[in-house]
Amino acid sequence: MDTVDASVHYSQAIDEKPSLLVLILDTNPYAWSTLSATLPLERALASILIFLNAHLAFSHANRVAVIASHTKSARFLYPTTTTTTTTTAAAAASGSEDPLRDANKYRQFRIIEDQVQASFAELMNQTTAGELVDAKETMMAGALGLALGYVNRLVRVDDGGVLGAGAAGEVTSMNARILVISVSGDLAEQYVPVMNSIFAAQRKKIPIDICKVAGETVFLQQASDTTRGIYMQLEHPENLLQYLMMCFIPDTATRRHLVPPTQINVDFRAACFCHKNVVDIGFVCSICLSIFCTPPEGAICTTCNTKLDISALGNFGGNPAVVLTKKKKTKKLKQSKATSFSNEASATSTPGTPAS
Amino acid sequence: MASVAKGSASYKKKDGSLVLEKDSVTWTPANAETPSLKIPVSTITNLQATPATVAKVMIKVFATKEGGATEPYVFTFTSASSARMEADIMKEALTAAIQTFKINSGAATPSGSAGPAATAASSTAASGAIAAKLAGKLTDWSKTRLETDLELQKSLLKADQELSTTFSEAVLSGAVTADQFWSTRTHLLRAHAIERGQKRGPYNVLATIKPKTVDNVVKMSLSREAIHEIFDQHPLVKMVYDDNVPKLPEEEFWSRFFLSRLFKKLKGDKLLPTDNTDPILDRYLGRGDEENSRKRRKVERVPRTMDIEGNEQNLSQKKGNAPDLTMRPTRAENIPIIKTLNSLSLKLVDLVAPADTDPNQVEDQDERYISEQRLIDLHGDPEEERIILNIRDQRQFFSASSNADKARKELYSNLKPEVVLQEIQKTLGESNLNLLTALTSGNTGKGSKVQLSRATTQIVVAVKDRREQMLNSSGFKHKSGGLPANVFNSVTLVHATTNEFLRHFWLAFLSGDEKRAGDITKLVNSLRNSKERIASIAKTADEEWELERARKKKEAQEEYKRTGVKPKRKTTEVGGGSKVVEELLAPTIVAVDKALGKYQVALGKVDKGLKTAAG
Repeated sequence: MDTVDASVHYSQAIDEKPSLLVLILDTNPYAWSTLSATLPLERALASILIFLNAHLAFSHANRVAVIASHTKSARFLYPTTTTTTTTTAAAAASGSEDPLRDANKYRQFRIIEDQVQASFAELMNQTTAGELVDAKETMMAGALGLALGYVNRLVRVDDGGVLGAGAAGEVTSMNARILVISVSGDLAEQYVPVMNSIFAAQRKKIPIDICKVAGETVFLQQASDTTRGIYMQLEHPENLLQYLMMCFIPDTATRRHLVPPTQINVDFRAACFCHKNVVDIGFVCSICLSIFCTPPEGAICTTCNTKLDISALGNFGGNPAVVLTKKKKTKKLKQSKATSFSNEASATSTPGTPAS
Repeated sequence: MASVAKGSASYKKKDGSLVLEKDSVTWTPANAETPSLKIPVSTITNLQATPATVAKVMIKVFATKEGGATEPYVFTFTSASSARMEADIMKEALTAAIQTFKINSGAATPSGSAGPAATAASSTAASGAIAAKLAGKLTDWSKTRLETDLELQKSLLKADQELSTTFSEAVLSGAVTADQFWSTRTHLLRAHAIERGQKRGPYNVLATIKPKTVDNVVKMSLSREAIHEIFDQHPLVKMVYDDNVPKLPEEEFWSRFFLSRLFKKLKGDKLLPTDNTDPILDRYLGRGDEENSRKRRKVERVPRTMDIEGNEQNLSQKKGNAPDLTMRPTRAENIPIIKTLNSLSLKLVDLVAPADTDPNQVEDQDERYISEQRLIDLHGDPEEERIILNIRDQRQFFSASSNADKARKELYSNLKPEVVLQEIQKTLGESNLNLLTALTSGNTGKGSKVQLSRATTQIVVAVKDRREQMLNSSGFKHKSGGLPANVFNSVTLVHATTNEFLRHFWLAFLSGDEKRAGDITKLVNSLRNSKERIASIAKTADEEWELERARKKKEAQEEYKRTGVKPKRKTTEVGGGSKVVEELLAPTIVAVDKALGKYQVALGKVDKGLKTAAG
């Protein structure tokens, strides 16, 4: 009775907030077609659905959303506004009893499985071959925008009711995170919107996890790095489920106690706005921070129309000086031998030299 | 010859006098007539003096001798009463002389170099130079001035150890010139110049003076500077000092003062009945330091909004807001301390000239105070003054010649959209997937388990890498990766210098300036040397590693012999070796290779160009 109670008491309030998972699925048909040997779409879809179910199984208050990043548009696969009709239609088509009354499956799981598949099928059915001809990218920026908007709405709406307008946006009622399952290549065209989405997510403390099944993107790496999400380039994409379950299942509250399996090397290079090339050395507009691989024509920023003063640059970034100087040096040597070259030397060396 | 400044100073422990004449500094021993040392001003490269807080007053003059070597001459000022003052005068005069010399010799003004003008003229010129320099010190943080200020650069190098090692590696023994080195570090120079330009404000001197007990004798060290501060802050002490010091030796005065009740009172300590009494100093106890001391900052005009004087007759209680309920004068014991500290703080604030107010704008103060009191919440939203950013539609730039787009088109070029779409529609179009069967679809069945463990391995490896990194950054594991200290030092050094070379290489390479071709070739050589140095460091690391391992093995064997217990493997494991060095410097090597590669390409182009030009 008199012994000292030495057990540890955790007075710290445990974060019991439910967590929201927004999954962005790259639905580029070409990419999935090339992947069919290693990871057929149905298997990938099944893995993703199981992963979503696992997320929901953690807490009845957990929520999910699935967004398709298609070739020319991005849209919600779940939740959707038109789902009720399609599911019942699907159920009727299958001819069995009402799927929502299936005794062997948790109802929430069932709803999500059905809706995601139905709306995915609908999306594909609406896509025509003609649309696909010259659309080979994926609308990742749009999908990220949708995801962020959804997260913001869910979190803010719940807030506003409880805490009033003053605290809205400061306290979140849910821990949100975004998971991108990316199968296609670079997003250089969408550099600006993607980067804006990344910064918005960073501000809202929403980690963006990247599950890279195929292709190479620089910017998604940066997305996960700046938002402190997890980046995983799958070496064995056939085991998508294993990766999802091991890397991406912990929510933001749990991650604080874990070592994330993020890959360490991040490529921080940016793409120039003019040719969408990834650049090592670039020129940045001092007004709107646009990036150019060479100073824009006429020194006018192509994004914001600002007249820029590039006189301070001199010949920076032009032809490496070594070329010209070497030329001059060797010419000089030659000059001492044969003076006939002197005119040519001055003629060739002038174009690159700065006016100063 | 007329002397500009002179003072009694000892050189090499011999007494004598130091005299600054028009163009040279001479030192004459005390018993000699002719100067035994003469340093022409033109040879002086640097000047150093001990700071005012140090009791010993010395000036160090650096002069170049024939042959280019720099020799320091140290003069200690010996005058008992005015050493500091003499030194200050000497220093200023010397600086001025060096300045004028530099101006005269540097600029193409023949009148200056001819300069047969009398001392008066030169001294006025000198004072002008000083004024110019002072003015320059306050405002001129321009790049050119900072980059030519050798003294500033030296003091920065002294302050920053890391920078100074880089400097000595890259500049003194490398290909980078000092100008290049500093040109990329103007911000550091500027920060340092501003830091040096800052003055320390007044502080509570009495509280900082603490007695030290050495051999049972209480000792105190008191610098001239401190005494000056005490007089400034406590005019009462100055008064007491003036009254008594001729009668009382100075040393005794101070020793008595620091033991006296007066000192305790001024410091704000509580007086105890057991405190020493002092017949002389106690006489001043009753006098208030306060009354005769407050050198009030002159306030020309108090703004009406905060002028309490007008309220004087309406003020019923001057002791604060509420009347004192107890009506007893010294209720709280520590009130005297609070009062002293308060008055001291007031004094300190008064001593500092306000730097943030512009004397010309006194008239606006009323307006300022009034506007400060306005209730901003009651006003409407202020009009937003934003710069409108005109963003043009981006898409028009996208369509044309996008490399990434092309690459992707090629990637999917063999796929027909109709086929692809049908395939997917077929997959999705059927009734809902059975998750179990869908999961195994496309699997050969047998290899799945192996692949599963492979995937797991990838994740676990990533987690391990990450953990390593996190532990490293939080200091759990040794930063050097098991390298011995000397090897690790050379690794950091070679890293710093290689970065320096790389930085200058790219600056020169990209500048497009022909004049820098020589620099580039030099820097390329330095970069090649850097690679060799990295290799040699890796080699030494390996050697050290071998030695360490042999030593550990031997130790373990001896331990085994002695105790008969087989040592655990862990104790014989040794970190380090060339592998760690290469790991640490891998990015550096990549960077160097890239730089050299670009250089080679550029060089090749030139050769080609030449050939075509020649042919």
